[in-house]
Amino acid sequence: MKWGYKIILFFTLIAVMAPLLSNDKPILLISNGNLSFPFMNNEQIKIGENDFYIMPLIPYRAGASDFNNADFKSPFDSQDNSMFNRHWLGTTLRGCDVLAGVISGARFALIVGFCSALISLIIGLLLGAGSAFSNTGLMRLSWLQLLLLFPLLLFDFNVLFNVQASLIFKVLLFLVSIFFLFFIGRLKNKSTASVKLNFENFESQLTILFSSIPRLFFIVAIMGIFHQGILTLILLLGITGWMEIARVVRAEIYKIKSMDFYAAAKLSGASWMRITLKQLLPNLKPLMMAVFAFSFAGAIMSEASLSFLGFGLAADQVTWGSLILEGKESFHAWWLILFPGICLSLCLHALFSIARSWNNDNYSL
Amino acid sequence: MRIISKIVLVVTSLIVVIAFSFSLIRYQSNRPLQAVTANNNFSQHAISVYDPSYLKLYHQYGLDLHSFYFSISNLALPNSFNYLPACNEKDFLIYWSCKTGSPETIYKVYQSLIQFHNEEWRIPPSQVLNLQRLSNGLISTNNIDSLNNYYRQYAENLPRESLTFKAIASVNTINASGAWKQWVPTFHLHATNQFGLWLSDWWNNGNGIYARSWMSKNTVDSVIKKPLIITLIITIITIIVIVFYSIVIAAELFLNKEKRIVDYTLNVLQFLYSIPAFFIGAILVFIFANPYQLQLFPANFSFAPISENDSITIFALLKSWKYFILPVVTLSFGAVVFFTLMLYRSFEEEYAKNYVLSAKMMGVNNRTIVYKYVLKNALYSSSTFLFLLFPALLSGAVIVEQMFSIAGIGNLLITAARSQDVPILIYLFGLIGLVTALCFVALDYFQQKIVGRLLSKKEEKE
Repeated sequence: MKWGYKIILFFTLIAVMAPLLSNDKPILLISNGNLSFPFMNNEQIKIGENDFYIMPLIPYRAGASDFNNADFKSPFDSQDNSMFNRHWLGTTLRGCDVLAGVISGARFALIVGFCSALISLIIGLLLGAGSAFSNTGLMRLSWLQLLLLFPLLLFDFNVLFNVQASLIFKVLLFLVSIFFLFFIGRLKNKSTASVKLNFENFESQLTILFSSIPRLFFIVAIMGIFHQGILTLILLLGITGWMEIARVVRAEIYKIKSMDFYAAAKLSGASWMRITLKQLLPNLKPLMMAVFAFSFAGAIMSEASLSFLGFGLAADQVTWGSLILEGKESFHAWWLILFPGICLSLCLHALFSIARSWNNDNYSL
Repeated sequence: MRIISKIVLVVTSLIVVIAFSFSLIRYQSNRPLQAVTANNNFSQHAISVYDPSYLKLYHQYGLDLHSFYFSISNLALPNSFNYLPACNEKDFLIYWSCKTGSPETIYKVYQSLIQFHNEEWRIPPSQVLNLQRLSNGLISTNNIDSLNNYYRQYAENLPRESLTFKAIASVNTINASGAWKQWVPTFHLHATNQFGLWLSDWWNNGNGIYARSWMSKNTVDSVIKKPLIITLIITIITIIVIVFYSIVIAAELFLNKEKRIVDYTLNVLQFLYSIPAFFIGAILVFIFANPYQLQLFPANFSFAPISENDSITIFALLKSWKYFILPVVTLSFGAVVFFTLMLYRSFEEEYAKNYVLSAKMMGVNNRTIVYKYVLKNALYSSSTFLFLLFPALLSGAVIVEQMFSIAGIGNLLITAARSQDVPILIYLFGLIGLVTALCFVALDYFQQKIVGRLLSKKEEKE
């Protein structure tokens, strides 16, 4: 296994194990003969004198203050606690543990990066494939679909923003309307003529439109208007990251379509589902992996930059960017800049090297 | 022909951006109203929500009344109570936000309390005292938990008579009678439609609310002028630095005979590419601007002579050269690394071609070949990067400007986003979008006319 994967695996393990690694609640508590695992829930607990408990390796929660060690204790300063409770990477102004912050930062960076890269990949794949197949007649809209498309979209948009309902309901409504459109297309395609939308042109226009708005600008402006939170951040990063993917996927599908094995599969009468599953996707895999790793890295970078600007996650959630922001404001606290910065750079470099290893110099990404 | 179609594309894209921002404002239904009342010299207390003039404003500026009421009753937008002039309604909302108990709602309530702090409250003096105590307490404590508790205590002391449950009832009836209207957007497509009004606001700069900053009440272009110039200066200096250093590093690396050193440097460059700009900036500030360390270059741009006066003179620009060094280095770092690697790769490609071989046969110096012939062709092939560098740097300036407190457009964007100053946001958005789209068009023109002509000439010769 290459070292890029090892680093990402290491950070993933840290992210998954974060509540076990750094927490101010014990992992295991036996009080009055009752066994419990307090780190799993958010309730406050009291530890009696005779209780037996095992604390995590770092007995601090990210963002929780330790006022005995406040005012920027460096890793080498003498600290007001025992050897086992030491702040190994120093503290912030309020006495928050930097190591716990770095661990929580890894968690947020990986969650936000992975989810938003996945969203970008899905959007890019759909749009790129759609535009590549648009003139073979795979993507056709009937007149009725076209007429119903805009009212339905307006309705969904209104429900999404103006109506207070659960998110699942809104998503379900959206999916139902899409399936409704699809169903109408199936009904109409056989009997009446359909419009062939120039989807390729539309996709290229959309790509230019989205790439003409800088990512950070867009997200900062939208974050100013809407609610700040991890879901908004993931969605915004996902929506603004698909352009390169769509472009590359479209080019690759055009290349595959011009090859002999594709023509052979079509001539032998394979269904489009079979062609997609057996011919297209296996050939797209290396490119998709490369592109996914790149957009993963890009999303992590953007998340850190946004946290640094104060527009990322909520104020009580510690990320690498917010730690560096705190370090920038005090001139002597080098540990606040160095450790999160190194983690961030290592993570990005690992992802870039993974992307390069999948890329095989086919595309200048 | 292709260029014309590209320009048409740019125009349509801009229209889409404008329409998108208009719909964003429509759905953020409260803030513009405050701007309207402030611009038209309405007193905040003079009119009520039930007043017909409010209704008129709503219809004129494209704000959905029903969604406004809906948001009050559900508290989807907690700051909607800013525009409730009667204190009873305010009390009701304050009480409600206490009942929901979410810290964010309460924080928003607190912010608006500070806003209304100096104004006359039509409430009993005991409550004014209470409020003052509350806001003093809030200012002194940063802890959100104690803020929450404080507010809960306040809510318990609040006299119940002042809360009008009539208001709730009326909101509910409006909701019940016109509930279906929230589900259907209303667009006025007659002669004085909202979108047209909104656009004419922009055109007749200074008349309407959308052409004025909601914070400073000045016209948007007067607010944006100086920040734009400062950002442009920094960006242009950065582009010069990037092009110069990348060419020199890549060419010298290419001319180096020691393969080990070259490989090592390339690996280091590939690692440096993954270091984010703000990390580099923070390290640079820590080393070079730190009073405990070197203190060579100042890090706070707001003390530079160029940012002191309203007008920018060349003398002030030259005088503040020291302040430009750290921002320019931070901004150019990633691009220098990327462009160096890119140039090195295209050097390798170009060097294998026949014209290099023939030049070698003629006995031309290797350095001359690289700097005179190979470089030119390599720059043609990396024209995409060079043309898209300018918009990328404009948006990359957000971080650098925030870091070195430069009063450029990036900083303006951040303040506008924090204070929800939508006119400024839209103007910046449109400006950057237009610049990027024009750069795309210029790139297309360049590739078609210049590179394309060169290629066709080569083909003719062959």
